[in-house]
Amino acid sequence: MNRRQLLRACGTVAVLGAAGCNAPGREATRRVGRRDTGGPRNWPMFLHGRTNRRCFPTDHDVLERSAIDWSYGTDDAIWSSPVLADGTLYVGSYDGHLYAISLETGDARWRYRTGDRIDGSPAVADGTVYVGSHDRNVYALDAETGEERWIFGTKGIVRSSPTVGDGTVFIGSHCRTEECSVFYDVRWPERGYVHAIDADTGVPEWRYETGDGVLSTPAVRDGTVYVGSSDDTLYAFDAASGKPRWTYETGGSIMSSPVVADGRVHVGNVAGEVHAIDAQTGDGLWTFDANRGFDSAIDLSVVVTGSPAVCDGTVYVGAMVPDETVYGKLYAISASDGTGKWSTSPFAQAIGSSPVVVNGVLYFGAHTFGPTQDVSPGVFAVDEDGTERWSYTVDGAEHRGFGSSPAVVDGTLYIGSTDGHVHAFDLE
Amino acid sequence: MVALQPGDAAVYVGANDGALYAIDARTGDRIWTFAEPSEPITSSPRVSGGTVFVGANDGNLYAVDATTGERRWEFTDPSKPVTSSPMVSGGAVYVGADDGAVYAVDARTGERVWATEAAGPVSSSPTVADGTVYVGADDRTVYAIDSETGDRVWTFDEPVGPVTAPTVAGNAVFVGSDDRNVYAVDAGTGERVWTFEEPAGPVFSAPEVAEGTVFVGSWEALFAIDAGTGDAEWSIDLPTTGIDASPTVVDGVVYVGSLDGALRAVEAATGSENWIFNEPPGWIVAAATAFDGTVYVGAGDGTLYAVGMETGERRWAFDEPSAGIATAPTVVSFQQDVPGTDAREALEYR
Repeated sequence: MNRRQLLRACGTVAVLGAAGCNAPGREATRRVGRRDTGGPRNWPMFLHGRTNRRCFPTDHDVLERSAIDWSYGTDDAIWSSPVLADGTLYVGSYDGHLYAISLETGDARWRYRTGDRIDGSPAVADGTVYVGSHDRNVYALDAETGEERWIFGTKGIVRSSPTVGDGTVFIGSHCRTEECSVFYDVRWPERGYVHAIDADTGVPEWRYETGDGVLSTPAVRDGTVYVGSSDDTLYAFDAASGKPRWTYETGGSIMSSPVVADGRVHVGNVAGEVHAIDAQTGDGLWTFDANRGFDSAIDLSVVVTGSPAVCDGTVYVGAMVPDETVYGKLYAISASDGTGKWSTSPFAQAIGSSPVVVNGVLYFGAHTFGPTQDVSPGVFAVDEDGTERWSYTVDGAEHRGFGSSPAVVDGTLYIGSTDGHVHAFDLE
Repeated sequence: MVALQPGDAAVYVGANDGALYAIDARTGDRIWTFAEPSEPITSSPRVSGGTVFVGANDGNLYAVDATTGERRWEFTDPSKPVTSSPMVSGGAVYVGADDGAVYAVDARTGERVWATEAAGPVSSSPTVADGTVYVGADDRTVYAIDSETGDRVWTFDEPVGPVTAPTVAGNAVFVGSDDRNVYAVDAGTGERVWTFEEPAGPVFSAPEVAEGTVFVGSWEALFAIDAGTGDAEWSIDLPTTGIDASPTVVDGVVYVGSLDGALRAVEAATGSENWIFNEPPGWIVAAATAFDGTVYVGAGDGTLYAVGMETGERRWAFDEPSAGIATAPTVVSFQQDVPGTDAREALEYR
């Protein structure tokens, strides 16, 4: 399998998912209330905050997994990543609904039907939940009731997740049809946009056209919006005007969402590169090329679609690595100079999930491209030196695993699954 | 350059390469190119009195001589792109702009007559009927404006998403919205008559109304709706694609392009497909124009296609634009007594 085939496989998840991912009916068990175990108390948007950093050191003991605490089933696969705010978990499903699930009871408070599947994550701000859909709309719904506040149509399908800051929703849009998202390299090239929409009214503030689809989720810091595009470029926009402050060209499509930490922007691309860029100037500081990984003599075609986590001088990122077989691999890279520290594998066939670091433990999901008995997809916890601490694996023949990224709130890890469920793991 | 002779017809279309093209309707040869705009043209040209009016993303409205392609005037008041298509009526050009204003401009001089503000970009195109300008805006509102004074007559703000260009038929105004609904509104009062809630995704373009039926495209479907009741008459499923373009209805046949680059001819009464033209490799997002046995449609591959109305076969393809065509072509026959009425009007008057 070459990279192009892999990307196509990545894009056809809906088709492949339909065979092996039919969810059982909705079910829920009660969970206990919150406890003070460190880490964040809310997780309002994809990759936690506006900078996407996801590093939560605390003084507490390392959190251990005990068991699945509860799960909630939707009617199709979940690739969207859950967000949590004020006791409610919000997640999108391939069944086209956005779900609001009570953390107290594990039951749905409400669900809202969009016109097509939901790939991206919702974001919650000031009592409103925002989400994009393949039907090409961005929805703003009352977080309490699910009632429509506004709806804004982009010209392309929306796979990016909204980031909300300073009263504005920032989100990317892809090309116009599902077909062009799968065969984007075959069909006439299509453009993508970065949109800024008034969070209150839904009135568009600005939009910027890039050379290809924008699947990446924007990061916002100090009045600057950072976002990648499939045109290989990382953009930094003035949040108010939409004018580019700088652009930075990489060697491959950027589906990964940029992470801002310590004055730097970190982003991966489908050519297996991880870049660190000066957030102010747009100057490249270092590039880590996973294809020439330190533990492999041969050139590989590594694909990075997930986002890095930056913690204590280390950048962690998942990837899919085509070798004789395809496998998921985790890289640890020095944040100061971009040299590889370690890598570990295999984790199913791909880590598209973006890791979160809590108390020195990395949590992430791994998935497959279709039913396979060769690997076990699952949720994994590894130490900062790459040692596996625990895993929750499922049968790869029946279950494509976890492409969703975890959210950790009050000592519980929440992640979406291709079996249609949101799983909550008690980390105590 | 091809000189226009009496008896010729010209097709006018704007492209994302920032040029307005005049093309010989019979042969597909270029007559002239107007390349002054510095940004893409996503506004569909309107022709009246021998002048082509077109907006551009550089924030200007241009008036161009239909015969020579020379600029007559430019209107530079808008501070943001003019993606709205101009409407010409009673000596005035009405157009919206992304700066949130609707402008009335003297068609002869290019001087501003009035401007009225909406609370969001006005990317949809105005419609004029009985002295009233109807226009939809991204602030989720339909405005009815006095065409003489620019004063508001009524507003309709029930949609929760941006609204399309309105279509006026009978005593009703029909609009679609990003909120996945189609609305029928009383043209006199602005009261809602019905809501059609079946579209699965945003409705981006003006509904077409013919013989008491509203035709509208959306994500994965084309709908025919009873204009009086708002009930569905029929629909066509278009899996994994959708319709952003306004349908065009001529002699009981609906012509409509879709996002996967297909142009379809379907019976207006039943929805049964007469033919499908699959040649464009890229999207079709603007209305087709039918004139004298030929359907003209632009596509994302930067090509304007001329297709036989009966056969669905290509007559010619004009592929000079270096970027996609997202505007509806306008056809003008220089045989007509009134030069410059556009194709739809011409057909209605024939």
